[in-house]
Amino acid sequence: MGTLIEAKGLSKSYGSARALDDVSFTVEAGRIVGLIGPNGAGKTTALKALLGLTHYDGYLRVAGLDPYRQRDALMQDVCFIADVAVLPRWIRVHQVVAFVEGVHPRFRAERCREFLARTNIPPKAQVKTLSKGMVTQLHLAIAMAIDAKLLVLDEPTLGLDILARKSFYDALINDYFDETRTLLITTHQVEEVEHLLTDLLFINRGKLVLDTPMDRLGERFVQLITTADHAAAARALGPIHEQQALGRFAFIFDGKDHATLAPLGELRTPGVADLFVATMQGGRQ
Amino acid sequence: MNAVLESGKAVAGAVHAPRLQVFKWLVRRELWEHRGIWIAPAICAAIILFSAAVGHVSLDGNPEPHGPGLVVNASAAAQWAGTALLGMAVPFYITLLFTQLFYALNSLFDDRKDRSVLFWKSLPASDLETVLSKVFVASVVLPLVALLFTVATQAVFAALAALRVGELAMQLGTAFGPNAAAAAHAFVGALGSPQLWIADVLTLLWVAVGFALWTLPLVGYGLLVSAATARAPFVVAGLLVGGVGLAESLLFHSDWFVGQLFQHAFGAIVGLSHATAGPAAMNAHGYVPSVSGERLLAAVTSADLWVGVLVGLLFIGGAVWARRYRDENT
Repeated sequence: MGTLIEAKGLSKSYGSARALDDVSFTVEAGRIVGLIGPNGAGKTTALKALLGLTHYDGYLRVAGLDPYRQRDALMQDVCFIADVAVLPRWIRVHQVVAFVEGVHPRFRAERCREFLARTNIPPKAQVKTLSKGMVTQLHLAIAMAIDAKLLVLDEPTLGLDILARKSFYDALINDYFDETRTLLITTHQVEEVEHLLTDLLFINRGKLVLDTPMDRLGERFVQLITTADHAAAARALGPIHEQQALGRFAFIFDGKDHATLAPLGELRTPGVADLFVATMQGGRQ
Repeated sequence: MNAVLESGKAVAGAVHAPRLQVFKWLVRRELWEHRGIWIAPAICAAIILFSAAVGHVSLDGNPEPHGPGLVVNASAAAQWAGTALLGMAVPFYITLLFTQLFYALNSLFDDRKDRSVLFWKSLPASDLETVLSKVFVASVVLPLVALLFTVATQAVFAALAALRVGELAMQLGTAFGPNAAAAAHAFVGALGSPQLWIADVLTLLWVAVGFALWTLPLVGYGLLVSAATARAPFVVAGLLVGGVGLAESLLFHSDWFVGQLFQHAFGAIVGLSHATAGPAAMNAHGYVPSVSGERLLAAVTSADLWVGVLVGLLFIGGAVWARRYRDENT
């Protein structure tokens, strides 16, 4: 399948602010990558660079193309949902489907109409009359009917209620994703994408602070759950994060031998949300 | 069959929709979004037909009554009819000027304002194609729509005149005395002449082409401001134009820029009103199209016109560039 995204020394400044600071990573085809960071961390700038929407310094190839110079060709292979509710408000559902069918050679209108038939979206409705959840469903139905090499989702479920968020990701995984697709998702709602990601990219203040496949998370990071009597010993081993709740202590360690930690308490692989907090706070110290 | 096509696509890698098809959809998209394209001329037609239906016929001294109890010959009736028809076109083309400017100033701004530009930019239609589709709508579709509405309005007017020929004769009584009925019938008869309609449509087509060429720099300017401004395209466009005009007047005590602006905005409309007035448009055979070879030549050899077209193309190039490279920073 090969490498779909290759970034080397990617940088971008807005005035004196470094939105992206020497970011390097690769994404292989067939992965579901979560680009995760707090607001203002550089997620959106990174996506805009990947989609050829902004100028950048450094080396970047997406599907073998230079996104800034070869944007028109790139849009044949890449699809993106930039944000919720960016579909034009005046357009009607059947119009937007017909339009995309007319301009996109990889769009299968039949498939899109099948997806839409499962929703409550009236085909003749104007986008402005639809609820936020319906607009997102519509946009997803369009995106899922495009046979793209890469689908980029930028905060796709922002502002949606929990049911809409869940059905969004269910549809994505059940009806769209297979090993020929690659997904790049940015979000700061880590919990809801955690179970579907294959790779994690943490970004903070324009820098990449973590780049790991999910299945190797446990090799590097370990969470120690222990009681107050072992807390001092655990602290002495240099955890990157400490949390205390109901008399129990949870420490996260980066690259510590399990054998050293095991006598102190229970070991487990940290959740992405805990790891996110640990890494972001680490960045602040 | 489908499977074969699909696998063909997969092997080819980069698949493209035929560019003409993409362009067609981009234009259709504009027609969906901008309902004003139809509404503005429809309102114009409604006002004209309403006043024609309830109003009185005004002679406005054209043709000049040739004394009391004058006789209307076929030629005078033909000129009268031709003038009435082309006069009706003027409001449509003035409306067109404003529709064109509004359209150009909004068309690359609205989708940036509501961020749907990110949706359009996620599709494989280039920014060049997008901007050209808007130029096409502003400078080809809008003038043709104006022409269609004008001719339709003229046709309804002619039908109304034929239905109300008796009333018309009564209204003409003061000027034409005993010949009023004959005058009214001559007018209605002239309105039914195919020659008149051919001349009328040819004139209007010529005006539409002239209109598109004269206003191209204005359309290009509108699109550029629309693509580049961070907010309020109308205000920005107005301030820039006002600023240049003012600077010229202060620095050089001249008004060349403002003159050019008016010439390009109203060039075609002035041409249209000339076409309605000239006695040269008459001969013994009745109404003659004002699209004479001489006029054609004079219009298309105007340096101002072609310099304007060139400036318009530069502005359009700027609009494409701004659409493509402006970092929306949202």
